[in-house]
Amino acid sequence: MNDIFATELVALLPRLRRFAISLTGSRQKADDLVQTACAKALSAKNSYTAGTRFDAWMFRIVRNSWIDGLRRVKIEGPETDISDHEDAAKTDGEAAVVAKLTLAKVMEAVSQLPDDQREIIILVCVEEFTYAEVAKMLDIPIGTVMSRLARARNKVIVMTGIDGKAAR
Amino acid sequence: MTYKRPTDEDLMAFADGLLPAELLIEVARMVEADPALEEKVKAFRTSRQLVGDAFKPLVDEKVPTALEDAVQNMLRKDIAEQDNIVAFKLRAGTQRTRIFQPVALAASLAAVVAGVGGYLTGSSQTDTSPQFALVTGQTVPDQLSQTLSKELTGFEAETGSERVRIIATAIAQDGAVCREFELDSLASSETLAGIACRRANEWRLEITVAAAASSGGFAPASSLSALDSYLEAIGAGEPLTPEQEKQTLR
Repeated sequence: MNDIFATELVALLPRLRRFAISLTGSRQKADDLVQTACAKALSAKNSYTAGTRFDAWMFRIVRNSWIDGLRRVKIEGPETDISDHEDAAKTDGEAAVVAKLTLAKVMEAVSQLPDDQREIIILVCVEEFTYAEVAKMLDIPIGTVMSRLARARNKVIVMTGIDGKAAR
Repeated sequence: MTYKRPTDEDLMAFADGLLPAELLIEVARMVEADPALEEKVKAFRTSRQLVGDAFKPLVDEKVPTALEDAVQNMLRKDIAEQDNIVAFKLRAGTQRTRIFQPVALAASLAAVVAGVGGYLTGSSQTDTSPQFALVTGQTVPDQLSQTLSKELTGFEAETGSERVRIIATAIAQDGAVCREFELDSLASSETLAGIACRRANEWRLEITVAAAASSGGFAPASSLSALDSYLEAIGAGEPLTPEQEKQTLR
């Protein structure tokens, strides 16, 4: 079990980090958060039930670690390093620029959502958990997940000027 | 179906393909018949697509080495503990008896910190009885730091007035890399054994023991029980294997 646990945890680090960046808005805080969560996971690994989704178990620990501690030191105001993709300079063509601007606007909109909406929009739209899985992860009713998610997406739609006509 | 118009949640679930089967046909029919509803469904679909497009590429970023190393260290430590190995074997073939002596340790502390600290900066010690110093927080001098950062266990070299020897590497409970080392004074027969741990890229001394060296140059085993106690106190498990050590120090 130990080796599998270690292998899965290491393999999951990029996703945990992505989730942590989206929660904290900062790569540095995200790294601290992931490290804290991994330490907690190791000390609580007996509470992981074999055969259940390991990623969901770890995401829950990351999220709870964020709620428990690191959020208290969150600096107010938008963080700026989240959209610094390494390939940001390699733009080519108007379409690519427009796409990039749109994604930057989406990131900004998501970063301005309340925490309880942002975590859900990320877990569903980025990490692709189902509503039921998110409800279990966050210990809230599925109806609450859906109403928060719909509100979050409506806000993103308004803030970024998305409408149905632009749908792909 | 009892409701007349689907809620936002229904339309969103429809867009996400997560609407319960019993509502699916009803909602699909309404959406098809009402362009406003259809537009809403498309907007929900687009929002999901764009949020995904914006954040998903973050997963391609390389995990910073510091984070990966910290996690790997935790895992190594965890596995070592799982194997129920708590002995910190300082030298191949030398199993030392573990003697926990917190009272002796505590009583010895206050008087000797200054004297032992002086060793590292060049002053000499003439007292031949083992002395203990908890010197947590004192930064390790540059030259020794460099040695601790890159040299493997077994490394030995003379640097000016001292000979340095690296004894072992272990991981503390908090994930810090800790190394036991010895410094022999070339001018006297004295040896200082110590443990330094690296946190936030800085080596700091945790504990040092000064004693007269045995004829082999190594600090006598009898003087090292304080180090054992200390290693237990910080939760250091089994010393790393050479392979683990290489990965940890890379």
